[in-house]
Amino acid sequence: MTNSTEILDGLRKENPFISSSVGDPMKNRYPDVPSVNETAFMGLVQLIEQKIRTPDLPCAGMVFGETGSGKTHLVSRILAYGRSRQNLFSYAYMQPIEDADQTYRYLLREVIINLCYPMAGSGQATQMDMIVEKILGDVAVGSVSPGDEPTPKERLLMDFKEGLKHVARRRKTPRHLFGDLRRLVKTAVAYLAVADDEAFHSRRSRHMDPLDFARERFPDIPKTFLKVLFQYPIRAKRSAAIEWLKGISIDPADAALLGIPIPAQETAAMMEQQARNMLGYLGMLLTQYGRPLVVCFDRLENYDTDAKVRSLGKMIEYLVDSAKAILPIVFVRGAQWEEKFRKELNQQIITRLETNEFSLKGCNDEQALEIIGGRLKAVLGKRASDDLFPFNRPDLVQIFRTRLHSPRQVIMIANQRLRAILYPDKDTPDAVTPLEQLQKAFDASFRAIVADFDRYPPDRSRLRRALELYLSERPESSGFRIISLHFPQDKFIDLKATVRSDDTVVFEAVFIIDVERNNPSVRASLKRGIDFLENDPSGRAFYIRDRRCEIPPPPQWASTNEMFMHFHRLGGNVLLLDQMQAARWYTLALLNYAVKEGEVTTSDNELQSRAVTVEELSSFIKTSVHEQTFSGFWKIGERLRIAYPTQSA
Amino acid sequence: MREKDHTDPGRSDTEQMIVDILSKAGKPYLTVNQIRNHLPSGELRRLGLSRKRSGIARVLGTLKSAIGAHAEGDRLGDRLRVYRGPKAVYIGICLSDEALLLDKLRQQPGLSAKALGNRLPMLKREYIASLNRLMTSGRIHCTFNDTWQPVLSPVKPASVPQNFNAKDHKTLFKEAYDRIGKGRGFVRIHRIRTALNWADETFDRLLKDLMAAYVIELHGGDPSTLSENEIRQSFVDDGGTLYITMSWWGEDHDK
Repeated sequence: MTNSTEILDGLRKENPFISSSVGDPMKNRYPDVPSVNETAFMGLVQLIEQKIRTPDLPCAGMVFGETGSGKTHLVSRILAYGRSRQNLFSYAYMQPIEDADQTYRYLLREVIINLCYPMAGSGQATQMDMIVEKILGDVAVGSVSPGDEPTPKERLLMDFKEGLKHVARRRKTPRHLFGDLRRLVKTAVAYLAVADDEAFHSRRSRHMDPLDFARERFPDIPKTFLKVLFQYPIRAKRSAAIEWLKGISIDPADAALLGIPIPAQETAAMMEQQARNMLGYLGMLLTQYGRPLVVCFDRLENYDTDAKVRSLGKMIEYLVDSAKAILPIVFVRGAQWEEKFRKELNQQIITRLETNEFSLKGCNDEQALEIIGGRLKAVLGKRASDDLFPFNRPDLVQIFRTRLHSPRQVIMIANQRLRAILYPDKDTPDAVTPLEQLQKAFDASFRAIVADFDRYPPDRSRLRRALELYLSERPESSGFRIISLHFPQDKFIDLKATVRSDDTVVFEAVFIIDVERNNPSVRASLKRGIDFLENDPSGRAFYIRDRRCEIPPPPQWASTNEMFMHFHRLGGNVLLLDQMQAARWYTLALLNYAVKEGEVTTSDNELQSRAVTVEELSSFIKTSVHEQTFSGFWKIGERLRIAYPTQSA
Repeated sequence: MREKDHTDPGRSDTEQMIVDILSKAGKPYLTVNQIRNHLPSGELRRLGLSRKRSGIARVLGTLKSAIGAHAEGDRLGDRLRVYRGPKAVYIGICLSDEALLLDKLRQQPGLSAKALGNRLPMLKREYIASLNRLMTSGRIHCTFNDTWQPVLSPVKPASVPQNFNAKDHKTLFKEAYDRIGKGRGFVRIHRIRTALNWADETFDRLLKDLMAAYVIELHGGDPSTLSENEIRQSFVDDGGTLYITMSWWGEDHDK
């Protein structure tokens, strides 16, 4: 009896069925049921292993899965498999593209972001660290003689490893442990005190120059690329190296830091070609080191224009046919593939993807019970019983025998029944309204973004998506009305609107979102705002910037700062989004993707579950997002409500 | 330049007005000019249209932005569709080409293929493709009349034998699934239902039996791309969930 009460209390504290969404494939909380979607899993593993053996093999994978069928879980399972095999492959997860005219830049950027993200269970080490380490390790093997002395840093590392062994050793009294620990900490401090670039240079001085070595081995890869790549492990230069590797025009100070020429202003077509080339160089390195990159394309519901679909096709085609050692895997809903993508993509891409297609299948009764049992065990530990207490096993069998259920349906049914068991006095357990559910999803995503902000670098296209949602979905009480909203062809202006304030004054507004760190590019953006305000003083211009892309204060960037002041004097509005504000904008954009994909679910009074609709997201934006005074949107609304803005000078 | 219209008052009113016009006329579609001429003067003024001066392209463009055009196809709002014939452009209730064709044939059975085509707001290529689909799926009979001419007539639901045993049903079901899906895995339920043309109870019972045997799996999806008729012809379970497509796994499909 006591045991039963304890179990129920434990489940009240943590209900393992409260969420049916994996969310982040890199952080999976609940255990795996190997038999669920085993065919798809084994198929993908074989595909990856084949790619390791033959990096030049042009191939791709496609997984059909409806909402809740376990696509994200499958990704996390594949990642876990890779980790269990000494990080067999690198991995990148592609969010949907927004700017179809930046296809290759987007692909490169997302790949680099993922490669520079700390790997699970590896402290701060990233996949990129491993790639660079392998190349540098090759330099050492290729050029060092057996008698070479290790550097001070390498010696400290060896000491540290030895110390760890001592600490882990069994002992009779704790006295020795403290001594070992003290030595270990001392070694660690000494190790950290040695500068990274000292280690890099000392390695270089002892052996052949890594650059020369790498150039010899990879004659097709430009020296600048390798030079920047080799500076990635140096903490002080890492940020600049990442920006450069992402194909972004870096500012002269960063170029000087990396010791590379100041990048010239390039056309969009040149930047696209450059991004293609860089992906190719990455592929060459991955080929050499037998470590392919798996690129997952998910949330295809958001490829909602012909241009975006074509962009997806371009990315797949390039990765399959041109970039070596990169394996694209597309996750898509079956009907959507048949009725949309199959009609719009060219036959070559369709054939590539359909050659290795796998379908996710719902769970039979045994698998459904296994999922439930696994989650109970994750929370209850040894207290979990085989008869699935507090559930009635025969009842569950009866439910799951009626048809195949997707893993999400299994979890939702379990959740409904568990709530009825845990709170029997309530006639109808509390239904979660769509707005509440959206708020929960928003809050959870916001917290995740804030906690891991570096993973969400300044992203103009997602800021634009958030802004568009804010402007499009307004409550009646917003105090302004958007008569028309469009995306101008001018690459420096993101949105242009005709607005009517409550005072029935009609005016034009432009929104410039800028995350560039390149001085001339920032000036070009500001000039658009200044020109607009000079031509139309009654108009409103907004210059929006993620605060992480700081504009250096005077006397640096003198003319840019002068333009900035001029823009301000003309009545231009400057919005520098701090971390909390920017995180809210990114959250809104990602929530939009999730809702479109049917990933946010709610249940009604009868506990029937369904996906939250786009219309409900619209209501959420009107009620919740428009009311947040601290999101950064508020200031935009405030300026659009005012009939006659006063100029600052 | 992509432009998004944010002036939406009266969007559903205009759509409803056109539905009413079609309903009054007792026709599933009318030409754009007929629709324009039947719209109330006040509504035309509001839309900035004139009975005399606004041509087909202008009327169509205005209605698209007033009601909301879908990204793909000729959908107009939720309930209407633009039909393009060889000589005129029409606006009508949103129906699939097959449904439109069958509807006409039910009203006028015994037409030749050409005569039927001339009576429909469809381009030749689309018409012939739809006709072939219906012939292949057994929804339309082709016989010869007294003057040696091939004529068409719809296959009535009653002509499908009702005393088939479950195995026959299952075989027919699988054949329809393969034929419609062309060997692909996700097939629209309403297409299979329409092709088989069984009584709803028969179709739904078989569907439930196959689901319980884990032979098939039903999937949800986005109903906004479906017409009302297509939604009706899909499948709703006891909990009220709508299923649009299905996959056939077979009896021995491994995981």
